[in-house]
Amino acid sequence: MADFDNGLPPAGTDVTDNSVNAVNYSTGEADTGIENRIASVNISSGETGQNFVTML
Amino acid sequence: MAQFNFKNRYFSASGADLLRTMNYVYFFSPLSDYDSGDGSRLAPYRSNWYYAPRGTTGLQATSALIFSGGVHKGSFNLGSTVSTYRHFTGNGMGVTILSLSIDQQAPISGGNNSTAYYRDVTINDLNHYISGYNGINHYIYFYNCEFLTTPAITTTALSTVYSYVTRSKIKELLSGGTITYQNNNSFIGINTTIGSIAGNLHTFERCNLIVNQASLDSYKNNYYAFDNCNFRIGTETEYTPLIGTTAEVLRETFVNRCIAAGLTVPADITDYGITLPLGRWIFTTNQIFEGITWYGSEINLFEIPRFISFGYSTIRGTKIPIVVGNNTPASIFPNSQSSVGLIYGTDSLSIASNIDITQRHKLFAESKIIWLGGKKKLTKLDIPNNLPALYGVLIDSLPNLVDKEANNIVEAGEMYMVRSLNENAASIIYNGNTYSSELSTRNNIFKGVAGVNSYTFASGSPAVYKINDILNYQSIQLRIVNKIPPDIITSGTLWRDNWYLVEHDSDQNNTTDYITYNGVNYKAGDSFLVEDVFTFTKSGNIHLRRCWDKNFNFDWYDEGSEEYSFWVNEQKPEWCDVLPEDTRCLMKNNHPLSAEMMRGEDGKYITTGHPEYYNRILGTSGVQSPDDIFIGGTYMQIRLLITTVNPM
Repeated sequence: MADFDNGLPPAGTDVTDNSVNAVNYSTGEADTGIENRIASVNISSGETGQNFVTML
Repeated sequence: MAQFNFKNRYFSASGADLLRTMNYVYFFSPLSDYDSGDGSRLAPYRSNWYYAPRGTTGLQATSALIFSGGVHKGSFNLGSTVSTYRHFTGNGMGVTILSLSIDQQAPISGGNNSTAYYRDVTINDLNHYISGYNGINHYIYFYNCEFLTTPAITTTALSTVYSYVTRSKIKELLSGGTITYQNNNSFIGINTTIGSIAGNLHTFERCNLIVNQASLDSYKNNYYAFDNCNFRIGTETEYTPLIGTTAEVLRETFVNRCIAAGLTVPADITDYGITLPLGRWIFTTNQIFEGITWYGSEINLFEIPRFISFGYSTIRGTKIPIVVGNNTPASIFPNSQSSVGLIYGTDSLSIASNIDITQRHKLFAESKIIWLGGKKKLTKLDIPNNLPALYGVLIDSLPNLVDKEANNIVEAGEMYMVRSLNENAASIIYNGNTYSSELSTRNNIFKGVAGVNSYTFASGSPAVYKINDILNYQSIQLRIVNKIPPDIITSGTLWRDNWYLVEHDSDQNNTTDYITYNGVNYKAGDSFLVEDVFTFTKSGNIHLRRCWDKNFNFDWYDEGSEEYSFWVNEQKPEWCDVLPEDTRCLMKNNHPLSAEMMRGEDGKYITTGHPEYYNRILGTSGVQSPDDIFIGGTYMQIRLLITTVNPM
């Protein structure tokens, strides 16, 4: 169809019937308030020098 | 400048994420050179070639072939002796055009099948041949494809091809083998009889349709939408349109014509509490363009209470209409920001007859200010159009070819295309090889190599162009901001070259109050560009907000000035290039809540049309950027650039 010697479309090609009809856009709610952060540091501790015995 | 990269995700017709699920993925571009491609992202195989693209005979039997934008015209020999599953996936309808000749060899032993999946492509002159053996079935699935012409699907006489078409846009019906149209297809400009096409929830646009008693009796329970169609009903001898404009009147006209033409209209149908004659069909004018309808259209209002969705696309976007007059809010209209050479009509923007598409043109149209109703993220843009991409006419703000011819300077690693300055073939010699402008052989692209910086003319009047975007992405431009200056303007002098938005003092749905500028009344939600008139009057409780200079450039503003202080930490109204099908961006500091988008090395915002976008989210540098941030904002403007003589 478009195999032309000079690499271009044929001269005089009528494109007046071709058109853009509209632009439609879609939206969603914008992201809000999601922070990347360290929330806290939680530590565990026990009494020093105490031996735990597990009872089975 | 960064080289454009393929996207980070491609899907198969069955919905699989190809890059994650396939062991073998090969990339193709029509603008790569023949010699250097290896099927990888940054060195794709050339697919626009009249001989087998290098390496395709050795492609794995189960593999994905990913096609960039552009017209792909290669002959593929996909030989294999075992079961084959091949995925042909592109960048989207109208962007990736497949005119391929594919020879998919079938397995030689019984019990094996061959399967092909097409997705996100336009089919034009596709020839898919499967050499088969007795009792072996072949399956071809089309999903989200556009059919400009009937694909030639052929096989040996002893085997059968089954084709399935889903969510596709069909301008020519398929033929050959066993074809099944599944639900949700959009038919455009075809001739058929209602009921002869299987499936439900189709749209028929500008079609010539025969209606007989069986159409009414057997298919009344299928959902169909008919837009701008001509009907030949019962004893009628000609195809004629329905008289009327609204869906209600058109339904009445259709029913009356059926009765007059000797048909019996079935009993009224009650659907979700709504009782109508032929209540699952809807007849409209100008409510569907290229298979796409929009939020609030008559089609959409029919869909909502019935919980259905017509046609190939589920997106019901907000329409930015193309209009002739200058006081339709949020529209695209002929103003000083439009180039000459475009003809505006209602819902139509076309190229004037005096524009010669064999010459380079950049035609552009621009929208008014679009208020998004609060801060929103942009999820999709659809641009229904039928511009002739096959003749190199595209909506594309990224030039595929650099404007100037290369002037006999060749850079290593860059691609170049040979064309002719007149209508005759032309050729050059580079690095010992001859390259011609002729599209019939497509030996017209070469890649610069180190140490060979020039070419010599061989015949005719050649012109050599550097290729800017070998992946042929097609983008539009938009500018979007979160805020505009807060001043409420009720009197005073307007600023030249600035856009102003009309706001009501309390009710943005008010339709009685207005601003008068340059003889035109603008109501709430409308906007205008100030050029040679700097005064306005107001009627009612209404005011203006100044948005931005049409040529906004932050560098103009001195530190400490009002403009500088407002915009310095804000998203700025600068044009950026966006792929309509992918409205993502990067934010400053890679933080989704930054006020402003990230800028690339060229200083422009990084959105999907920017060459750095896919490279960054793919982590080509070793550091990956987030891929889940959509372009967001409150006020937006859109610009369409229509360009000619793109590679074909």
